[in-house]
Amino acid sequence: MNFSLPTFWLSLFAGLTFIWLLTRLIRQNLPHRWLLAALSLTLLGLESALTLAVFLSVFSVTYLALRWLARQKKLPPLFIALVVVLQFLPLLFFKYGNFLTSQVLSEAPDLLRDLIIPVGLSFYTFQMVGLLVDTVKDHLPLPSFLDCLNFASFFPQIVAGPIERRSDLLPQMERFRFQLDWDSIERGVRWVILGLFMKLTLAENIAAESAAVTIDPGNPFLVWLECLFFSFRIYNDFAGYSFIAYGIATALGVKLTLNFLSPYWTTNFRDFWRHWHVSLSQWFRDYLYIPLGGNRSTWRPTLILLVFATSGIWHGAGWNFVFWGALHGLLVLLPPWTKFRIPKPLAWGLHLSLVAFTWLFFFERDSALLFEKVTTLLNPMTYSPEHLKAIMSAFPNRSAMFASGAILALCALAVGLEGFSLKKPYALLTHRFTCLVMIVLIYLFQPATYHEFIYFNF
Amino acid sequence: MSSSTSTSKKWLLFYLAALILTAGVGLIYATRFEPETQFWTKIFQQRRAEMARRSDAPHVLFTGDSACAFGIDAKVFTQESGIPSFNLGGTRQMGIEIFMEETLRQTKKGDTIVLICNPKLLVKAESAPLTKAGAQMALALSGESDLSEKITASRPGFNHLITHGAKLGLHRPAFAYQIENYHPGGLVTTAERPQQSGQNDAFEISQSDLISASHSLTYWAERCKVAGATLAYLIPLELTSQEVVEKNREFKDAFRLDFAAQVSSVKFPKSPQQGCSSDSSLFADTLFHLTAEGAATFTRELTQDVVRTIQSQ
Repeated sequence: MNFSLPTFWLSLFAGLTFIWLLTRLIRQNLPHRWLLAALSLTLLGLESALTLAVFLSVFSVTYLALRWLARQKKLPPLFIALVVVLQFLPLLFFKYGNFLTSQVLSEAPDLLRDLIIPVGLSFYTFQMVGLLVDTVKDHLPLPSFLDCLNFASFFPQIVAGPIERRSDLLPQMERFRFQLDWDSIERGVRWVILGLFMKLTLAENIAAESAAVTIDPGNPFLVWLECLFFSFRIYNDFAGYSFIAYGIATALGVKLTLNFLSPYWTTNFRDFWRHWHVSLSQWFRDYLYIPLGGNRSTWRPTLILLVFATSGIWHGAGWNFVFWGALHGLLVLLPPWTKFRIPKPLAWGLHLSLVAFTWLFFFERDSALLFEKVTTLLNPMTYSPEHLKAIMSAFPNRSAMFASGAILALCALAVGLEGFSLKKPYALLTHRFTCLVMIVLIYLFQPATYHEFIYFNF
Repeated sequence: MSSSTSTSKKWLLFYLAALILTAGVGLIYATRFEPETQFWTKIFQQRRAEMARRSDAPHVLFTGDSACAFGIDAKVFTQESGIPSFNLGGTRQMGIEIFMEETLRQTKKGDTIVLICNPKLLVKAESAPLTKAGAQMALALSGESDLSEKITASRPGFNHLITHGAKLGLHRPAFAYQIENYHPGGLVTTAERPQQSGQNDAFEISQSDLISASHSLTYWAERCKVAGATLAYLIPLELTSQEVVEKNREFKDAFRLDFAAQVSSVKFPKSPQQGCSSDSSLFADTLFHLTAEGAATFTRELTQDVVRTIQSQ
C-alpha cells in the first residue's frame, strides 16, 4: 500500500467506484462496514499474501483474546501479559529475530536471515495491543468482530500509522458509512496534495540529490550536510505519508490523529516529541511510561531513558537505534535552552542542530563509520578551511550542487511556511491556493523513480 | 446543496484543471523546449533526410546507444568496405525501443543492422514502459504515444528543470552537445576532453540478465527478419585502465561467446580490442564516447570482421 505508486490509487479508485455503484443499486441495508473491511483487506492483500496472512494472525489472536478476557470475572495480570506477548510474537520474529539471535547467540539461524518484515506490522501490532489493554483495563464492552476488524485494518493508516486509540477510532468505525460528502472529500484532497508534495517533490528529490554527494566521513561540513539532507528527507517522507493517510481518511469521513505538528518549529526535545510522530509518543507514554510509574516514579530519569531506548529499538533492530533513542531520552531530560536565557532564535538553532546530529545515529547503520562521523563532528580541529573548500568537490558537478541547494531551499521554505500557522497546523500549506501551486510542483518536479516510504521498514 | 458544498465541488474541479493544465505545459516543454530531446530530434530528422536519398542496395545500418552515435564513422566503413552504411545511434537514456524502431523505419530488404550498445541496455522486457527520455523522443518524433507515455514524457523532474533554468539564467548552453557536432553519415562528436582514467571493472552481467538480454535480442532479430534485414551485435569500446585491460578483454570475449551460444539468430562479430582500450587519446568526454579520430580508428578496425559476418549469411 504505497501511496506514491499509481497502482495504489488505481486500486483505491476501482474499489471506491465499485462501492459507489453498489450504493446506487442497493440503496438500503448496504453493508457499509463489511465493504470497508473488504476494501481494506483487499488493498492489504495486494501488497503481498504474507502481509495479509500475518495481519490476520495478529488480529485473530487479539480478537480471540478479547473475547476470552471479556468472559472472565477476574483478570490475572499475568494472563493479560501473556496475551500481549502473543500479540508481539510475529513482530519479534520478523523484526527482531535476526538481531536478537545474532547478538545473543552470536549467530542467527538461516531462517531468520534476510526476513522481509510484513508491511505495517509494528504499527498494527501496537494499535491492537492498545485496543486490548484499553478494553481490559477500563472494562469496556467487547467490540463486534466487524468493528474490531475495521479498527485494526482501516486501510489509510494500517501500514504506517497513525497508531490510533480505541476511544478515537472504534466509535467512528461503528458508525462508518460510505457517503459522498464533497466538503470532506475536498478537505481530504488538500491533505493528500500536501502529503504527495512532501513525499514526491521534497523527500524524493532530497533522496536523489543526496545520493549523488560523496560524503567524506572526516569532513565535518559534509557530515553536517548529510545530516541536514536526512533531517529534511525523513520529515517530508514520514509526514508526507501521514498527511496522505489523514487526507484519505478525512475524505471518507474519518478523523485520524494528526501525526506531525510542525516538529521543526520546536525549541526543545520535550516539545519535539509532542510534535513528531505524535501517536507513537502517546502510545509509549500511555502503555509503557505511565504503567511503569510515570512522573511520580522516583526513577523518572531512568524510566525516560528506558522508554526512549525502547522507542529507538521500535524503529529498527540495531544498536544505532537504541543509541538514537537513548540520546533523545537524555536530551529530553535536559532543561530547555530558554532556561539559560538564550534568545529564542538561537535556542531554536541549537535545538535543530542537535536534532540533525541525532539523525546521524538513525541513518548510519555502519558502526565504524558512525563512530568516525561522530568523532569528526565533535572534534573542533576538523572544522578547517580546507574541509570547507572540499564541500565543492563532493558534488559530481556544478549542476548537482545547484540542484541540491535548490531542493534544500524549497524544503526550508516549506518548513518556514508552517511557521505562519502554528496554532492551526499546516493551515497555510493546506490552503486552497497553496494546493494549486503544489499540484504544479508535484507534477513537474517528481523524479522518475520512487523510494519506499522510510517508515515502511519499521 | 449548501454553499460550502458547491465551493468544495468548484475547488475539486480547480485542482483537476490545474493537474490537466500542468500536464499540458509539461508536454509542450517535453516536445518543444527539452534540450536533450530537441538535440536528438534534430539529429534524427537530419538522418531521415539523408536516408531518404539512400539507394535500394543493401546497407549496413549501425545503431545503438551513444557508444554507437559517438563511435562509428559510417563514411570510413563505406570507404574501407565498399558497402554503403549509416550511423543511426541514439542514447542509452532513450532506451533500445527508440533507436531500434527508428532504424527499422529506415531499413530495406537485404540490410544488416549492427547493434552496438552496453548489454545492460538489453536487460529489459520488450513490454516494459518507455523511459522519460524515450517517451519524450517518441512524442517528438512521431507525435504518437499512448496516455501513460504522454504522462511519462510530460514530467521533466526537479533536477532537470532546475538545471535547465540555471543554465538559461547564466546564458550557458542548455545541452552539452550542439547540432554543429553532427556529421553527415550519422556520427556525432564532441570537443569535450575531460581528464579521466579508465574503468577498472568489466561490465558485470549475471546469468539471469544474460537470459533476459538474449530474449530481448531474439525479439529484435525477429523484427529485423520481418523487415528483411539481419541483426548483428557488437560490444562497444570502453576506456579501461591499463592494469586490467587484458583481463577485461578475456571477460568480454567470453561474454560474447556465451551470448552467441544463447542467441542463434544474431551474428556476433568480434569487437576491435574486444571492447577494451587503455588508449585515452581515442576517447572524448566519457569512457565510451570516442573522438572523431577515435571513431575513425574503431570503425576501420571493425570493418573486416563485420564484412566477414555479412558475407557469412
